[in-house]
Amino acid sequence: MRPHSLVPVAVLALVAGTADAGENSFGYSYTSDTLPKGQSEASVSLTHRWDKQLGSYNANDLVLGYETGLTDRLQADIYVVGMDIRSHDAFPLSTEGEEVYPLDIDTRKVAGYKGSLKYNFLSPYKDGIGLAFVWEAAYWRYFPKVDGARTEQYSFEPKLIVQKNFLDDTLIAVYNLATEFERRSFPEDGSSESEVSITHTAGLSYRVAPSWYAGLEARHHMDVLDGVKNHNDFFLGPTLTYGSERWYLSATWLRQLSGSKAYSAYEVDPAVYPTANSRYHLEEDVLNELRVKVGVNF
Amino acid sequence: MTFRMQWLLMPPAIIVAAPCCATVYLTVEQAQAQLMPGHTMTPVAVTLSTAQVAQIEKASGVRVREREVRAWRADSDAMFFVDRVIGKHDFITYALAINAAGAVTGLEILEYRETYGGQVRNPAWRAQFSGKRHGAALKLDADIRNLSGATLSCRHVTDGVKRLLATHAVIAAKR
Repeated sequence: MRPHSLVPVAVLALVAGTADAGENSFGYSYTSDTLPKGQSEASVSLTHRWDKQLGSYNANDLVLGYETGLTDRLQADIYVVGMDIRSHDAFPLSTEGEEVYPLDIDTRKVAGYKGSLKYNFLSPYKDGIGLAFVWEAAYWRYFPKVDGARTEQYSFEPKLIVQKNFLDDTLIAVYNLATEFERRSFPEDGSSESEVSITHTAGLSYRVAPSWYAGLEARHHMDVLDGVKNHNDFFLGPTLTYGSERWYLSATWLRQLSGSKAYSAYEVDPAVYPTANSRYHLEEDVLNELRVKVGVNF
Repeated sequence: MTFRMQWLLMPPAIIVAAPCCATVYLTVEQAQAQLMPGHTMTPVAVTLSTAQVAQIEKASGVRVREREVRAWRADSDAMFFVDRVIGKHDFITYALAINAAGAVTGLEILEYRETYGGQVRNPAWRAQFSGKRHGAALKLDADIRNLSGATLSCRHVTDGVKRLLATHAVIAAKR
């Protein structure tokens, strides 16, 4: 049995795949636009995650990003991801097939680094539909999603972005498909594993007034660990964006509506943890996420 | 839900540090002087009827979002319009001059507030509209060159000109 710190990081895909949408109409979803050549954007994204079944669990993912247009169609991005986790008797908070026990965690660290290239193939403004691809590579030293435990992970994540605009471009619909290939090792016991993470993200946002967009975002996430389906969950929530000439701010709240049965349901005594058979997946994920993102263009 | 409040200070700090603000390049009077120098301009009150809106939308293929038309007539019978189209965040305000024969004689961007795409102010790009009449294709990558990195602005300004030419045709037919 691994110690609690060896939490599977399948859910890192959520961070790696959606922390920095790079656009300002949504909090989690990418649009197909790229920055024009020579234009740049600096951004700060803060995602507050909270609520397990029991106890107190609060985490913040802080992402500092820099994005720049290499050409009018090719954009390069770099990100630094910081984590801040505080947990007291939170449950469930564990790894698959392993004993579950509540933990007290209080940690803040630089968790990892990411870089990506985004290429725009079609524009929704003149081609009828927007189409872009993102190729993202990441290196992680800690697990920001669960307990901040030590790891060594390398991942590669291609993303497909499809966008369709309606009503004179005032209604924006996007769909993202991200598949992350992860290879990680655990310094504590020298073991390693591979995982594939698949994330579908979709958003619908309407321009309710000049500079203001309001809409909905949804996210479905699934992990396949060493060839076996691991867990999946579905989030939905509102998104609001204010954008101006030089900066934008977006806020998105996602609530988990359903998730696969917790790993811990198989491991724990229901008399001790009566909510173990939750309809949510709360071991690697939480019930609620609130993301606030600010970007400055220059 | 507990939260470390200091985290919340970072986004506002970024906003405060950001440069701003909207740019007004030309007033209506300045645009009139540039596009129709030496002419006496008389405001024309135009409120489109439902039938006219339908006629314009059918002729141009562009949605009419505002029934009030800001128009002026010159002593030469040429017309001057001030119109706005949707940018990514705000409106793009522009002026269009159309001569008595129904051909565009000039286009000026009055206000532009978008992050990217300000290249539509480029004189060479705007000059493409000169001589265009109602019925012209006015389509990006066809008779109007797109500016890479400014596609949304190019598309909407082009659509706006197409709609105003159809509006002009309707107004002229009414006289």
